[in-house]
Amino acid sequence: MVSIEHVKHLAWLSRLDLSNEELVKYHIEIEKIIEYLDRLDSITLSDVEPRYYKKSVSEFRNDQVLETRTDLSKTTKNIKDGYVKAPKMR
Amino acid sequence: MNELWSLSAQQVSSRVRNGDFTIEDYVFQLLERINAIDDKIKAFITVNDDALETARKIDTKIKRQETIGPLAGVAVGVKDNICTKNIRTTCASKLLHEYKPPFDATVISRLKERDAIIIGKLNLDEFAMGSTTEFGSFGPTHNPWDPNYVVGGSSGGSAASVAASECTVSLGSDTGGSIRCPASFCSVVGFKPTYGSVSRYGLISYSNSLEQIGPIARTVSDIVMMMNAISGHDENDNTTHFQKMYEFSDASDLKKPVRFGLVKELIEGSDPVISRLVYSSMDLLSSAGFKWEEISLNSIDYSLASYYTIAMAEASSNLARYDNLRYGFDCQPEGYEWNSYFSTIRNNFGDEVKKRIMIGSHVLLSGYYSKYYLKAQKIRSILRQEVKKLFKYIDILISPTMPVLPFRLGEGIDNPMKRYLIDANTVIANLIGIPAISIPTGFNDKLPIGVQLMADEMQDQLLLSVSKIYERIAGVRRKPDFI
Repeated sequence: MVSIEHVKHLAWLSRLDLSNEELVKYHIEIEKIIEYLDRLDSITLSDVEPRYYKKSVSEFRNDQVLETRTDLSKTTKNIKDGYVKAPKMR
Repeated sequence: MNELWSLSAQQVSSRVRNGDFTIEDYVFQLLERINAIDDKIKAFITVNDDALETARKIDTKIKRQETIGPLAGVAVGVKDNICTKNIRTTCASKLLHEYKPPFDATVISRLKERDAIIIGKLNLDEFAMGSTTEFGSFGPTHNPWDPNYVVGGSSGGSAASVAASECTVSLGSDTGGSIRCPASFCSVVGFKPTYGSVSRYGLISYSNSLEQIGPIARTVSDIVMMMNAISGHDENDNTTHFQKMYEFSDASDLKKPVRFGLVKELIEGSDPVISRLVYSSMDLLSSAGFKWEEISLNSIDYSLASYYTIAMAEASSNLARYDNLRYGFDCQPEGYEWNSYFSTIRNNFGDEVKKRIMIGSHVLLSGYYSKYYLKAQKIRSILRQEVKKLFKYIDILISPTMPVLPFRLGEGIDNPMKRYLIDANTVIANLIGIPAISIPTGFNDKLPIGVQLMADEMQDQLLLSVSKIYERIAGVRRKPDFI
């Protein structure tokens, strides 16, 4: 069972300002999906090693300084005096 | 002038070299065609204004007898989650509607270096999350075989534009079937290469450990041509394989006898119309002298849950970057508190994206890690062992690409879990990183059916050679009616 409070908490963690209508709708759908994912819990896999991507470090490129010539300020609307503007922290 | 738009990439590249027609003529015909039919299909989000200009430049090189690249004249449509310098790249998301990347993805620079033309950017499910191309902020793409039906997804625009001959070939991305599903639903060829064979630099991230860029084309030979351009090591993507193993050949000769394994669980889980068609293509393979047997994959039962756990967990981390400060639309931060600004802005994600981010947050909650994520990675490990064992005596695994026929737009849209289940056949290749391809295999009335072939990792050449043979045997040659 997934409670609506739990979905509210997930929305907060995900920084999503959901309306009440959205909360109710997503709650039903998310509950069904999580129930499906819960089937992972029904098997014991204690002696299995998880799979992670492994790669030899010798393939890293040389640690060189490269100059960036692109003007990133064009990708944002929130520029003032050459700085990116952000909302105030409380 | 003849209808040039129906030519394959191979034909275009050799005929512009011979001077049969100019690249400008070819690109002009494609642009006219997009203008005439894309209203019905809606494959394109953006058409590249510079395409004709670029075409003229390459024509001049040909006229001056300068060296030209192997893809000269080939018009490539690009899924709109792959960065193209100064051409907006939206991911079909309101949060990126105005985003013009200041750089090209590695695959795009490689195409340009080889004189391909970027003809435009193609529709997808928002951030590639979906299997139907209905979940984007520009609305759905329609199936060229019947516009009332879904096109598959998430690379729906990439498959539809190729099927409708609005471009020569296209690029898609495949996280759990996003190239192969729409290729199957549109009767074109879609290839997901071995993980690490094509650079993901400039692909806007959804689930990094699963996704790969790959080509969609009308023939296997065109897939080979594209792979020779886009694959290989890239220092900007450290998951790419270091060796340049990629000089793919278009030949269909096999060095040793090839044995097929038909995956029992995936045949049993499919619509009977589809299973029947796949069985009859197995008969065709037998008549052509190939050996095949039914094989079983026990861990398939858990693979979809493992896939969605990993994909959503990675999505929830990747999409945390959309704070509307570094890129985004015009919403000034004055008067907002930090958290409320982000939460308000981020509510502009579509429903599907929001749900996946939240479920991703759920499976990553402290205390839940070993219940979901760790288990999912363990399933991945078991599935890999099981498949590796099969590849000791089987060369190619075969199954329907999709367990269902293309369905009507909007059908079952309120039941996301049911929609997720249709990815069952395709996620396997992403979970273990092996190459997989969807090839047209027939029709049920007007609706296309594709077959999926999978090979062991790094066996992309074998898979492509066998695909050429399968393509010839299946002999699907139909084009959508309006063509």
